[in-house]
Amino acid sequence: MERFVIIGNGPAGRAAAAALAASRSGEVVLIGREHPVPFSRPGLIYRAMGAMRDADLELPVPAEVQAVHGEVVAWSPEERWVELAGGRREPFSQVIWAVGAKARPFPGTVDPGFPVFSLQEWGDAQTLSHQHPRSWGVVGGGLVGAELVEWGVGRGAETHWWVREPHLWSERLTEEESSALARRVRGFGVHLHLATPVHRLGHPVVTAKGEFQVEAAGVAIGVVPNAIPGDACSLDAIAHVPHAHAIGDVAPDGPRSWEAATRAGRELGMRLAGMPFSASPPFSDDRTRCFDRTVTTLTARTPTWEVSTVDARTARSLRLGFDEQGRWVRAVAMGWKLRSNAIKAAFAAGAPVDALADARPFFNEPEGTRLPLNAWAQLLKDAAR
Amino acid sequence: MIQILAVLLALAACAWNVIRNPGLAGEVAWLAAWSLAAAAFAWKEARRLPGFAHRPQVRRWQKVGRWALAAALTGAYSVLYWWPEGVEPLLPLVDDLSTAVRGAPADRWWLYGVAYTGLVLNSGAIVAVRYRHDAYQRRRTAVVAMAQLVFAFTVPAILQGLDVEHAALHRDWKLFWPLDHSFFEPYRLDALRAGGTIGRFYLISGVLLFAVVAPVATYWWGKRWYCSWICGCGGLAETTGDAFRTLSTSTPKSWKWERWLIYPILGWISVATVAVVGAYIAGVESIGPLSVYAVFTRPYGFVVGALFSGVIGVGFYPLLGNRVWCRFGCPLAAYMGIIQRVKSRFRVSTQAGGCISCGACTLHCEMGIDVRAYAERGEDVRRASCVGCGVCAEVCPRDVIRLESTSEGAVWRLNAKD
Ligand SMILES: Cc1cc2nc3c(=O)[nH]c(=O)nc-3n(C[C@H](O)[C@H](O)[C@H](O)COP(=O)(O)OP(=O)(O)OC[C@H]3O[C@@H](n4cnc5c(N)ncnc54)[C@H](O)[C@@H]3O)c2cc1C
Ligand code: SF4
Repeated sequence: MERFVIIGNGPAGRAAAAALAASRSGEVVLIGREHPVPFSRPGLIYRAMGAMRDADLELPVPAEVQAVHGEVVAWSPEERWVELAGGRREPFSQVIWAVGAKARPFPGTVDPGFPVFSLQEWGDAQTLSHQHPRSWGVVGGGLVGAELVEWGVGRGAETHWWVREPHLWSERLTEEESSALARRVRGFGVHLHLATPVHRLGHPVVTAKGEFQVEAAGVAIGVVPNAIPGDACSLDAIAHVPHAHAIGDVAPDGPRSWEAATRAGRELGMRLAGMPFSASPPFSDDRTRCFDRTVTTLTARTPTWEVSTVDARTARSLRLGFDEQGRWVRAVAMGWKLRSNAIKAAFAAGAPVDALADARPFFNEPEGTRLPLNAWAQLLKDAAR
Repeated sequence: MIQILAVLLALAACAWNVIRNPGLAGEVAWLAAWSLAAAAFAWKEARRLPGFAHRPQVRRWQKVGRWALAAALTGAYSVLYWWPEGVEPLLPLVDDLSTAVRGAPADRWWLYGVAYTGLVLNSGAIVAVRYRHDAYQRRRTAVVAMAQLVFAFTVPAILQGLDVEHAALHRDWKLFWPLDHSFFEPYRLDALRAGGTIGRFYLISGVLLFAVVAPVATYWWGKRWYCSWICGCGGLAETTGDAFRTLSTSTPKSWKWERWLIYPILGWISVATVAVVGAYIAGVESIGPLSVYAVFTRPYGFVVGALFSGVIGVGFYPLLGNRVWCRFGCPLAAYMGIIQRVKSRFRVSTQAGGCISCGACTLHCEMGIDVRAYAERGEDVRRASCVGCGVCAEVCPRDVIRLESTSEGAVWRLNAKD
């Protein structure tokens, strides 16, 4: 009888546990240190804002999975056990390290006593939910940075946002789209400072573009993998142990995201259970929301040419990319919910430009399931030329 | 602060009407004062960021306040149903309005109608601002509020004034059996038959709404065409009740309760109606030793018609969420739910890939559906209870939920099912 011990009850660990439990191929133990049961990490911001309770974020695990609350502090690949703080040992036949990542600490100086918060762990959201600063600054222009900025605005704090890059979300948005989004963010009263690295957090906060006074600051500048305990326990070392595996944010195989971690967990769980894993959709489908603007990106292949419209006033934009044969291979929509199944079907099929002109939205669906017809018509006309 | 002042002003205007009875102008004034208060709340809403995360719904309804409000609401409904004299002192609030619109003095039902419609309209305005970034919500809120104002209130009132002889016939036309549980009772059937052309119209349209329109529309669009776009109970739930939507529990146990209550109630009204109509056709008042009124009509009217749909249905908003009645009691919802579940183009589709398990959809589902459980697996939500309010799709930060009414075969599914 196999005994699977999974360390880390994030999406990767939970998905692996669920897949193994469903296959009934052995005993499954899921160990987590942050919270007794899995929870939604991306949902933590809603807890921090006070819009959700703890229970709303908690996620069920199958009854067959034995959930253990505790921190693994040592393991023996040879003798096949892991040890929890307190000395309890869990034997395993296969061990899965899904310990995720932690918030990257601020690399500059932090004045003693200056309150600095991050949003990574369960406890961070609890702490933030009790804070009510009158002024607030956020370091980091990524998605978690945006969430911390929205948290500040939602609390009515005078909010500064220091972003190192010259454009918001430049890896996803064009310059024009970035500036439309920036205008919108500023429209909510945020003091957005682009191309502004921060050197010191304290009274004052020192940046490349001057000094600022804020009561507290949030830092969201990426993550670093959590340590796997033990002497010289690198991911490379684990790769040489056939009955040990590492998945999710601790060993990213692609982007560090909820979806990627879930997929990795499920994939490994099903592989260990000897079950086939279904293929991914024919394109990646990536969505995020910032200040009520949804940014949706569908990508099948890298386009050779693109057409786009941007409405700078409403910060809505639509960008379509085509390959050399004129087939539609990328779509980026900001502010429009790009989710009509008919459109996706056309997209997945690599529909040629003229076929798209016939794509009709469904008449009775929530806003956004239909694209703005005028924008479509114009884009497609441009594209066909 | 402004909001509190506006509410105090509106209460003062009501008190002035009750004590002084200043006539029609005073009645218009207190109604306007409440609209002003609603505008003050809408203004507050407009200054917030749109989207649910910026509104601490969960904390606002703390336990004590919730119980107090529930007690007040159940108390008010009990007085309305069973102690008419208790309502009389309040009739000066709407008396002149009643005379002006329908040429008859106010009674408790008129007062209730004015208050109910006012609540739907005023809180509808606030809700429309709350969901201002979502056209589906804006449209739906506008339609459901207008359905209440036009079909349930204004048109019947005006027709009652114009057609005094058949005043009793002119009711909320879009309310049909089995929600309108007394439709087939002898006194109603007699009145309809004696009502000439208009009586025949109401009789035939009442039957058609139930037998033809409801199934066809539910097949086509799901039961949302009625429950969250037209219905009066749904109208209050979607407007005044919106603030309570996160209180609907989504446990499997509550789902079990739901099924154990709502289908027997549909069975009960069906059996009772067959008995009533059978006795009516046969021209008898009892079936064997059983009096039709005492055994079939009255118990249902008391237990379901008044106690469940009113006292509990609205009174328990602060305890069990805004769809207590629709979820656990409404026989029309049960009837359309069966059609929706068995054969309908409507479904709430999800995409497994994008879901981040945040649970916003489940939290905001007023019918207590664990939408997240479906979304995590990329499955369609095909639940009899779904009223298609669309709020799950609105609050989902990853935009993976959509409401669809398309023929299944034509739809290509993205879902990565394992
Ligand atoms: C605020 C925030 C918002 C996000 N928003 C999104 C989003 O919108 N979309 C998206 O796709 N992704 C988002 N992410 C990223 C996403 O949450 C991660 O990529 C994902 O959670 C990684 O999953 P994982 O299972 O690898 O690790 P984790 O979720 O980090 O889980 C690992 C768990 O293991 C525990 N652990 C670590 N060491 C030990 C030990 N020694 N013993 C026992 N337990 C241990 C940790 O405490 C943790 O609970 C967000 C992340 C954050 C922080
Ligand atoms: S479907 Fe959307 S709202 Fe529901 S849990 Fe998934 S991401 Fe959150």
